[in-house]
Amino acid sequence: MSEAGPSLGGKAAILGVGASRFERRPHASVLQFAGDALHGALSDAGLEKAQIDGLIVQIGSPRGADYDTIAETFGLAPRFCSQTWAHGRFAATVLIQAAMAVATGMATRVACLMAMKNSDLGRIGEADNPFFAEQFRENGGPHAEAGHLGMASPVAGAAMAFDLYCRRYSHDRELLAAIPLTFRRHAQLTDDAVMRGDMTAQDYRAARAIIAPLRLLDCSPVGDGAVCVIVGGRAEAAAHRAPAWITGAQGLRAGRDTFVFGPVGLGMGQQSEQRLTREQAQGQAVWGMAGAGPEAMDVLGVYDSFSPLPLYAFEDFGFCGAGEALAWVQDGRIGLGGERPTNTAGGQLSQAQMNGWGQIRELIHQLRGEAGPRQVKDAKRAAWLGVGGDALVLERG
Amino acid sequence: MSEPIAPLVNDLNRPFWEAAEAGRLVLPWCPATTQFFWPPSPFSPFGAVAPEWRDAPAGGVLKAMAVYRRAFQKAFEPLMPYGVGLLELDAGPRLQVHISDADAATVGRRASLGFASLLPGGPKVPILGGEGTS
Repeated sequence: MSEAGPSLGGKAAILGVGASRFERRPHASVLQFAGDALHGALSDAGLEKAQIDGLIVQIGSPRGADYDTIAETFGLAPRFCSQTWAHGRFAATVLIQAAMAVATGMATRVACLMAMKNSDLGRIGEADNPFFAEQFRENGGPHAEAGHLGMASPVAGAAMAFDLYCRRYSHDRELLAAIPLTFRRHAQLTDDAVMRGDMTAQDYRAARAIIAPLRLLDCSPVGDGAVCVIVGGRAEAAAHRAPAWITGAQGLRAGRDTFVFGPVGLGMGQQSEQRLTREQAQGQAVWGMAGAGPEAMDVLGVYDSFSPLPLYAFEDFGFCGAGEALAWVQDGRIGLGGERPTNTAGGQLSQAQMNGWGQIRELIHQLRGEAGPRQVKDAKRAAWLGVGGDALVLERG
Repeated sequence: MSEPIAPLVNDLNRPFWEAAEAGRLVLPWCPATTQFFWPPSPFSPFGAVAPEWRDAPAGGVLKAMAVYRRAFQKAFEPLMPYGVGLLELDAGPRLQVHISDADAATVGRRASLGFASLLPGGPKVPILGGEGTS
């Protein structure tokens, strides 16, 4: 690690994690889910709520509750608050912001909370979803929607990008089955995943198309729930029974060479067709800050609201070369017992669509040796990888 | 619940939509780099100068397509199964287009950008046109 480079090593750690049940309960309050996650995280960290002096919320109103409502409702009195928009993508960014807050002394213990309720809403893109207007957002929707063309729903951008990816590399799209099938097997080893039924390759092939080439089983099941992660600084972590240190971090990227559901340089939208080289991918800032590369990661969490997304993260973070991930994920490589176990609690595709927070919770459990039947033996280092370029490396204390 | 389906038209992008109604493709053009670009911006993304709107050739190549098998907007349900495509224009930018007959469209082939009203009384929007190099 360069002396001049940014560093979080030894300055921030995860002290506790909690979650609500994952379900569809339209008559519940989102605050009930939020409360279960917050109090679960406090209990897990051995903290009282009076010790929380920072609060960062992902997903506020209307799917969730905003930071001020959260603080007032639960009797928190944070002196550092922040909130991201009401979509996904920001899990790592929220944790990075919390880490920066504790590293600089802006706060000592930050509760990072993602709570949302979707069961009383239509699907995104439909008129009875509060995000309906976003498909007409100026210069394109948040997932490349163009409602006036009939292009509504995040599924469309993910489907178009996967079509482009398969054509560019002449891939058989059916190879994608490895991802949802692997994550479903992992979910079957949990007691809280919403999708725990058997899924066979035949089930996958037979699933109805939603927006071709994506099928129902390529899309994460939208529901209700909450996850809370508490981040503390050096002193708080030193006194903790099992801190998970944040040793590497990398922010979300944006710009003309990015696409929300594709790798750098895929050729979607106005992207170039210049993919990252293996060297560039293995030289991503997160690996430099952590002082450890992809080959040193014992367990992975990857954003998978749609099943192609992990492919792009594996390529952009140097686990394999550009265009190679569809072959790379075959034959158990990303399954428990494989070389690079990924989304070991089922991910968004099978455990719950919690915008990546479920995977981060699982990485914490893995590093503490608390993952039960899913435990990766002697897991010391874990990585979170977002298709947006956001990433974290966590290490066992 | 009401389901208004219309592109957002404002002072920045109005030239595109007015030309579209007339069946013409105009795109923002950067005088500093002599390139067309997309999406509309008050400053060229390739520099710091104000762009001009110029007529652009409508030919290109269809690079990717996604086909709706489930309706998200009720208004488009009668048009299913329809496609949405990514058209790489010879002029440079890639634009998204509606594809009324997904079975007849071939990804990788030359095509052109046309304009049509998709819904009763609706504005003309970009669609996949036939092969052409205009």
